[in-house]
Amino acid sequence: MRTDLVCAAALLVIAIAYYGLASGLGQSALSDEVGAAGLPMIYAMVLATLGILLALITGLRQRLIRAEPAVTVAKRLGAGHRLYRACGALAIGIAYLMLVPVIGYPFAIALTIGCMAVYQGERLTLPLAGIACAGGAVLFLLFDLVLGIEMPAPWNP
Amino acid sequence: MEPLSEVLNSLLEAFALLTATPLVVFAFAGVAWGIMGGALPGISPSIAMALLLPFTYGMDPTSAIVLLAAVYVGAEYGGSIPAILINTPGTNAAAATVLDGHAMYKQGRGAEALGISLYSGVIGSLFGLVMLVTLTEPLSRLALAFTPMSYFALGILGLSIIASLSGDSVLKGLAAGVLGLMLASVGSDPISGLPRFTFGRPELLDGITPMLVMIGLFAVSELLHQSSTGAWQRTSAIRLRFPARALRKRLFKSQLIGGAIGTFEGVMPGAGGTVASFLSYNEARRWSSNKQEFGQGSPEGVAAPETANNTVAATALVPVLSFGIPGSNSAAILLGGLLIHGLVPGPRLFEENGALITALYTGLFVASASLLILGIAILPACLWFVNRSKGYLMAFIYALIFSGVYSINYSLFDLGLVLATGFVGLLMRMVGLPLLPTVLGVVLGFLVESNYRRALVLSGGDHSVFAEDRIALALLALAGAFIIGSLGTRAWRFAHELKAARA
Repeated sequence: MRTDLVCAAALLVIAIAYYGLASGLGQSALSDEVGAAGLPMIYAMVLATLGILLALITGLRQRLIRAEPAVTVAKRLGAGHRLYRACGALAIGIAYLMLVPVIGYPFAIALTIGCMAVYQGERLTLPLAGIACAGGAVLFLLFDLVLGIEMPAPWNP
Repeated sequence: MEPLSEVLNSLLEAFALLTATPLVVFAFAGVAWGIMGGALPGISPSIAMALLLPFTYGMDPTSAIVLLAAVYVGAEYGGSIPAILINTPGTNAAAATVLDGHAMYKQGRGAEALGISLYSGVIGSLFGLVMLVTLTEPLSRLALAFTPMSYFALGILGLSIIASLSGDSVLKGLAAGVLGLMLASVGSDPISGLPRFTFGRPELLDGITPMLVMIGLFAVSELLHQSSTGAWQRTSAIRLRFPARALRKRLFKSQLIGGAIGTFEGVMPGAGGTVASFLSYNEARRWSSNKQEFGQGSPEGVAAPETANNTVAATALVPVLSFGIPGSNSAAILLGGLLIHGLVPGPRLFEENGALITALYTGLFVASASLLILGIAILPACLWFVNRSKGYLMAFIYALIFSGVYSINYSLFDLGLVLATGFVGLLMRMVGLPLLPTVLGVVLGFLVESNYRRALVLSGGDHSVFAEDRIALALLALAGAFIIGSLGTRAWRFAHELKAARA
């Protein structure tokens, strides 16, 4: 139930922000009666309505069905831990994005493979480094040489 | 005699395709990839397809569509391998197979369970293919009578069905669909060309490619989710044994039930393989003369869900090809594959790209038949993969996604977008928002908005035009009925919960 309230609040925030952006859209001489902002504003209103309804129904359920077990601290910590672990994996992806134009695709992708494997619990050993380097080389050969896709690198303008 | 000559022509065309194009290679490759992807817990058919999607960008449309459809066929069978061997379904649709498949494995009948699963999977695929060929074109002809009003109403109907049936809450499903429509509104306005929500980024002027959203929401969010789960279980080496004639005879009824339910659930948007598997398991138990065996290692308990989910792999393409409405995550990826090659589903697809449709059917036939060979041949490879360390597998899948996404448009911005949608997808999972309505919203957003506005331009801004168009009115009424019906069902369930809580 707490998740539903968080979801409802998030929907409302998104709806308000999106409505704000939509109402700021300019007018074009080529536009029709509905205009560029017409449907986006309707979407925002529908989303806000759904968010409010979700909050109301959740509140009503909470009031009427008291027997339902509350979210335990352990469960909350579990969700927090999951998000934290996922953020770590995401950070590896963002690091790849930032590194690849600087050090080049084969090195960045090998580093990503190594980091991700270590992050998932593998021990940092020489074989792991070897597998990561071999993986980077194989993917580089596959994409750059076999498929002819120029992968991002400082030597590829 | 004209229909007969048409059939003969189609068969000749299919044979020519088999011999003159690399279609067989792509069908085999797709099935092999699908089986291996499906065998890995956490890699659903849609993720196995999403991982290949960027590679299909540079292919010719026929090869690309056959490859993706073959992955779907292979993955539905592949999901049963870990379900039987390690009590963990490789795909959601294989969850029902766990009940009796793993029980058989524990009794030392794992080889028999795998054989029944493969045999039923092939039968389900072929049965589904016959249904696909029979139903798709007649349904697509309906779309010839469609006006902009009808297309708008069709988009709303598709969204409302998926939103009502996905997840536990209708409101959350609808909200997820609206979020997808919002994402679809990014880019140039379809009528005036005015940039919307682009924040000055030229990369967003053409809008957000649905394929990137699919890869982000399905594949990246699953990987992010998997990064916080424990290690996968391991299994020992095993060989596969096909059912003997007496057993095949016994399985027939449950396979028929699986095929019939798989056809219905596949054609109905929003239901998909998981619902079909559990429904057919229940019905097979109801009609079985060996009811007491169910849950204890019943061969029929493996045959029914496996036939059903493999039938769905083919019949889920009926609403995609006829109307462009994907009923499942995997069908949405296939639709993405069609759209990136400029192929718009509907009657015109059959008229203008008849060869592609014949190739798709032929490819699916080859894929279904090759399942029989590849299911046996690559079982050791699947077991090897299932027994690999989760850390290495995830690292390589991550690397494959990064490389594949970049290769679509040679753009690191796209990769950033995929990572962002992946994180959004993870948050959506955490708050219980289903992902499929969002993907559908992104796919249908343009259809909904452009047809809504075109209809109003034609009518001079008069909204009654939607009520005057019979098809539009019927579709909108159906959409309303679906939402009200789903809300009513939930309210009824809530009243029961309340009664139980007070008792």
